[in-house]
Amino acid sequence: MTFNPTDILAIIPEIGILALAMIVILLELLSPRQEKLFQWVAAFGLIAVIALTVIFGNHGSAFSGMIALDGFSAFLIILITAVTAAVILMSGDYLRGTNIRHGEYYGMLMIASCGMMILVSATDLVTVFLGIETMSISLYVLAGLRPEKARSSEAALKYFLLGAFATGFLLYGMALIYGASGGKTNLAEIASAITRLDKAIPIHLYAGVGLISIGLLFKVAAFPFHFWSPDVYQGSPTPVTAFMSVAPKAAAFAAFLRIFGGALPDLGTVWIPVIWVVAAVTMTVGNITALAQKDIKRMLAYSSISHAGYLLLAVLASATYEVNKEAMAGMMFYFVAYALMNVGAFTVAILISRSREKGDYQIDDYKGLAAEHPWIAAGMAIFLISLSGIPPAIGFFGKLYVFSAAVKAGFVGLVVIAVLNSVVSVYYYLRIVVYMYMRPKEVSLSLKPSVVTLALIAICAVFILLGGVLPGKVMNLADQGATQSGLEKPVAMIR
Amino acid sequence: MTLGPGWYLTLSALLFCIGIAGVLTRRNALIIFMSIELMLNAVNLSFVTFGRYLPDANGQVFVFFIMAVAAAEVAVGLAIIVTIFRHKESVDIDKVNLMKW
Repeated sequence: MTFNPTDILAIIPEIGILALAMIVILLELLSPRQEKLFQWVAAFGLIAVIALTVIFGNHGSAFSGMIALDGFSAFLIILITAVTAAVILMSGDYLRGTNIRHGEYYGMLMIASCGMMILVSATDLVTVFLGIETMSISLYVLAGLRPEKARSSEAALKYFLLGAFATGFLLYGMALIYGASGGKTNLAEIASAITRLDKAIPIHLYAGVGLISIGLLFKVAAFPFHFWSPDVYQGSPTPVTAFMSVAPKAAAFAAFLRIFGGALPDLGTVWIPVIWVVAAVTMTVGNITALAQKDIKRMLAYSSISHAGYLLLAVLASATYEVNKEAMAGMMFYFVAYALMNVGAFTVAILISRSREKGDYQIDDYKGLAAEHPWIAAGMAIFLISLSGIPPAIGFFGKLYVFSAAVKAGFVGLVVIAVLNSVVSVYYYLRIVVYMYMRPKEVSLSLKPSVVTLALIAICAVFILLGGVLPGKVMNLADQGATQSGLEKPVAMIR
Repeated sequence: MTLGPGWYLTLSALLFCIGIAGVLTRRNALIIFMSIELMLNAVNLSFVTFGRYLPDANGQVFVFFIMAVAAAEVAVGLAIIVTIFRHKESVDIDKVNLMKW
């Protein structure tokens, strides 16, 4: 346990984004009402954070193995920062119609992403816990950012009570694993401690694994702990919903993969069957319930539940040594795809709802959109086609990589269920496309998109198509990251 | 007579279960919140017990982090409960039902 001054370099991205959050909050104090200024300071600052992450991305493990800024975490940190920047840019128009203070809001978004950065680079139970809580507490605040709206308060209360409840389970699981592994909190040390236990695994270790999985399944909104997510997504301010549906999910899945694939592969016989069932039910429940939704935010919430089901395949595959790295790379690629299509879809949803009197999010509002605004409708169609996983959009390759890793790890049955589910999901995604192109419009939408909004839609659409035509580029980056961070040695007794 | 770690761990498990029961059966947001705090403190007891008997200082350190985070959670949580009270004149979670399915 020695302190090495260069360890600081491993948390440079976190330090950078926290400093930026403080700067934006203080700027609002010094010159209130300069909303455009905060937005651009935040956006350019986040680009600087991405640059810092690229420069120091190879630092490796630091602080006696508490945190690792390696390929996997650097990749996801860059993704989370980019999503934060996109959400900040899409928020400008939305915030002007509310009494949210812009600086505080941007600051809180960045503090939440700081928590996610800690979470994706965490290699110790302490840092996992601190990351999850920094992220979650900021998200509780963000969900309730419009206290004058009953729905926003309600979303915040539900999210907070259930989130804190899940944290209790997560922590109790950590305590039991800590005790059962003989006082280890480092994930790699826990893995070797469990290997040394061999067959004599104490009962409280099993209990610990069960409790920790309850906590993590809650954070990624998987069945049967997904009930909070549609309500929270619907009630929260929409840019916050866009943020919540992508970045925290990526961060929580990264921790899921590091804990279950990195520290507990030896207990695979215990948790793999459970997560198998959870994955199958999660994607099915998400897709079936999404079919019946009339509100686009709720529909996207159920869609994100089903995507969490697909991603659990990567977690399952990561416990097999031979495909550990492939599963990691597949998950990283999937999140790039998922971020692009969700950010795009929510940008369009915000734009459409702002033209409505009551600012609601009915799917019926999309009827006849193509006749009036062909470009926006084309963008939305690209996002929805990509979400449903039809080639040549990037979403297809995300699914392809994750599913192929799962097949190599031997989960053929589950992959069949996942593919059938993708077919079901085509119905509710393409329903909106049909509404946009083949239904007459009922009410005229006079959209006044700002340049930033249009640019955001265009960038997301172009990257989705580019990534669909040339997936190799992104995949190479993901592969490099996974090669650095995957399991180094085979673990003994998998299945 | 000395008490072994088993006693403390059993007490901690009991407290944790009481907390869960409180969360699941009570309808008042504040009481639910108190029950969650009870769960966190049960976890603290487990960590301290393991830390004391292994012996290993990490368990004790972890408890400090949990206490600090719980304090932050209280600050945010009570603020959220206040905003709900302003809307409903009540903190009964059965009345928090604008959104369903």
